[in-house]
Amino acid sequence: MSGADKTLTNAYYEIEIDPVTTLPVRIKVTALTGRRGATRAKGKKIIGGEHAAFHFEYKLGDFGKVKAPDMPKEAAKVLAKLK
Amino acid sequence: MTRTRLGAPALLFGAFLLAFLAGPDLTGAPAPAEKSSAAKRSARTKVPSPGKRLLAAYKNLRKAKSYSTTLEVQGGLSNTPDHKLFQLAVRESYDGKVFRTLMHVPGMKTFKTAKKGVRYHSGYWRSVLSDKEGKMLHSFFEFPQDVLRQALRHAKNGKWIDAPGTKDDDPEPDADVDDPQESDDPRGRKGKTIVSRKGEKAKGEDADLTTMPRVLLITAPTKEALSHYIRVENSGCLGGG
Repeated sequence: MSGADKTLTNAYYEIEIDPVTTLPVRIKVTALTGRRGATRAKGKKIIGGEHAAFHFEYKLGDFGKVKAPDMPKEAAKVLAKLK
Repeated sequence: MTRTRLGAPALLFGAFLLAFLAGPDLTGAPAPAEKSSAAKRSARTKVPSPGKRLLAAYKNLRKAKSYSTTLEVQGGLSNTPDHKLFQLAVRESYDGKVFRTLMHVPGMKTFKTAKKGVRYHSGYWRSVLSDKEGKMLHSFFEFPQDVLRQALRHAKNGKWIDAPGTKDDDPEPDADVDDPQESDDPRGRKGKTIVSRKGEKAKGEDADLTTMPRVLLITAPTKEALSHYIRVENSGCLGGG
């Protein structure tokens, strides 16, 4: 992963929205970073060659159905102390 | 008066007979090819603005207050235009339950908010940043509403990737096109006033939902893309942190 070209970075959000409920059911974030001398780009857009790619894909459901978590007292205490 | 009373039913019957013998052309119903192109046209004009739709989704998600979510993270090296990975550096999956501003990740014994979190590790509740796995979880597993809020800032760059007209194989908006009042958009028919009844409106809405685009793509500017890279780098998953 060395040789990252931080001047050549792209990010995309792909969001799927349920047409009935208008709630997001899938969110995909793609983050790309070029590598010096190895990445092919068109302008600032990475189109091939070797590059680093990270895909984060969220899936969502059970809207309004999740109950409050049972958090241990000790955990709550530590969380409250953290800045 | 007597002549009018006798003449009206006969005139009506004559008109009906003429329409029946002439077939569907005189009834004002468009030909099947015309119908499908009109339906496609109306579907195209009904495509909602990606920005407005995303804002509505964001607001609805906030209103929902609680939901379950999973996150799959895959990162590494790619050499293809579709960014598929040929060398994996990280592969993680998380399962979380969001309740208002708190996220519970039972598999990692973690409770987190957007800014901080605690994890049960080595017999104690500690900061989520006190170990490598916790740090990675906190860096990667953002609240989905926060991800949507980031995306909303660039919603003007958004476009539907499954809207009618963006693909060649457009699905037909409505399979049942026998009744022109059900299949055609009233706004597309000139010179006719159509009073929609309750049942018809519901059918029309169902047809709209089948043609409604679902997936939108937003391109973020370079500055934000760089912040994503820094987040990944700071997570320690690349071996440097």
